[in-house]
Amino acid sequence: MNKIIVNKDDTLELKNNVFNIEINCSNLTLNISGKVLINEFVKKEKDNTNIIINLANNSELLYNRFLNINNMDTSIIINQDSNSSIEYNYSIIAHDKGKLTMKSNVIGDNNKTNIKVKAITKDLGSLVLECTTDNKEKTNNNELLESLKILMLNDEESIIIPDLLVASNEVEVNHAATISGIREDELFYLNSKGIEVESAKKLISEGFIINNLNISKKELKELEGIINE
Amino acid sequence: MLKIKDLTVIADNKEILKGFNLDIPDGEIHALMGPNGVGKSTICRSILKDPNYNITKGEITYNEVSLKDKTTTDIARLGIMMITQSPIAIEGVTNAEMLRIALSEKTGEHINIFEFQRELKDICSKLNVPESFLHRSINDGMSGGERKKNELIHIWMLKPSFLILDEVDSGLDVDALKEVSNSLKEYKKLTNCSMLIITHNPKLLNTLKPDKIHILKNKKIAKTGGMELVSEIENEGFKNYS
Repeated sequence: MNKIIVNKDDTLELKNNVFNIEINCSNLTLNISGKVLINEFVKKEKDNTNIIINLANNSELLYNRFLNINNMDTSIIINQDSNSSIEYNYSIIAHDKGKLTMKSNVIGDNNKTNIKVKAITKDLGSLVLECTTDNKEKTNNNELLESLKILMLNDEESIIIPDLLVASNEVEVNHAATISGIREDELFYLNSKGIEVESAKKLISEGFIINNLNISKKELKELEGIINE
Repeated sequence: MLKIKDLTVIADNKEILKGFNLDIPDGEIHALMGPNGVGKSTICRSILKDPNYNITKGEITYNEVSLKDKTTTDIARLGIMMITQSPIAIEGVTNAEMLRIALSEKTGEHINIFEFQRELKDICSKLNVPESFLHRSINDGMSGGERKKNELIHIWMLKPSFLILDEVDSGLDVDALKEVSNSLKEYKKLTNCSMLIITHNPKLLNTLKPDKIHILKNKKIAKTGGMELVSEIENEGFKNYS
């Protein structure tokens, strides 16, 4: 499959297809219609991107984004009108300070919004992760999930700011936010099977972010290559 | 042989065991019984150096190797494996990946992936579990029975010489208990491994037929005997030992 490499600010119309994408610009708008799958697996120094995703009515988007990154200051805005569905799976390995701001605007009815962010902080990595889901008034039958998790492999301080703005009674909203280190009982379990501490930590942390992405075996191979580069 | 000599263990600032002694010769099955909270699981976890259990006195040796300065990983590689009553789930770590790394680190060599996969499939077939188990996260989203079968896969692949079964029967229905007990019996027959069993369930003991039964009381073993002790406990409970 060909990769779309976006080197300058642009607006892309994506319809009924699978896209591998690499974003190297500052501002990108993605207009989604039909059923679209986007995979973006990248290792890079910096990410200072503002992405706007507009979902047309009756569209479905599965977006798997993986960044192995030093610095990031990324903003993602998702706009949904009616009868659309988005599963946005975002996995991050942060080696230095970073900030991710996500905003999901739901203005119509019968939408599904599933935002799952999992990040590992290692080396000097830390994250400020702010996610706002805004379900506008006079809307019906929307299902919204916001799951934000950080696994710390260092002692740097990270922050999660989850916001749910709900102005309608006819909505199902769930959220989860956790920041933790590797659990002692998980480490003990793997050690008790004969696995060294460092290998166990690697298994647990890589499993944590890989499991967040909804990808095929073939895509998993590509991803593992980027994780271990 | 596993030898536990004069063991004192503290957990949560409380002394759980004091002057505890136990010898389990190669190939023997010993069962440990006692009321809840008496320290049975503490013995299991102390053998494997769970960091929440602090051994302040005494020594544990396995095949004449002291475990004093060994890590949990070292002890597992000496051949000791434990199954707990509620094996934890680890999201994102698959059984196959965990086993591949455990085997490759144990031997220090890359394992033959084709032989590895064939052996895993044979074990799934033997245990009557779907091969999809291998690519699922460890125990994640599994019922009590599925978790125990999952642990059986680990036993058959990693081939321990000493098995610690800490209330492995917990959460199993009649059929699942039969399957798990029979698999453990078959493993024992094929490998002549040793076992330390913690249980309240006579059915498991009737299948595995332990060589000795020990009753734990006041931080040490109060009585040792054979299967007649199981009948005694069934009829009278632990009132004579509490």
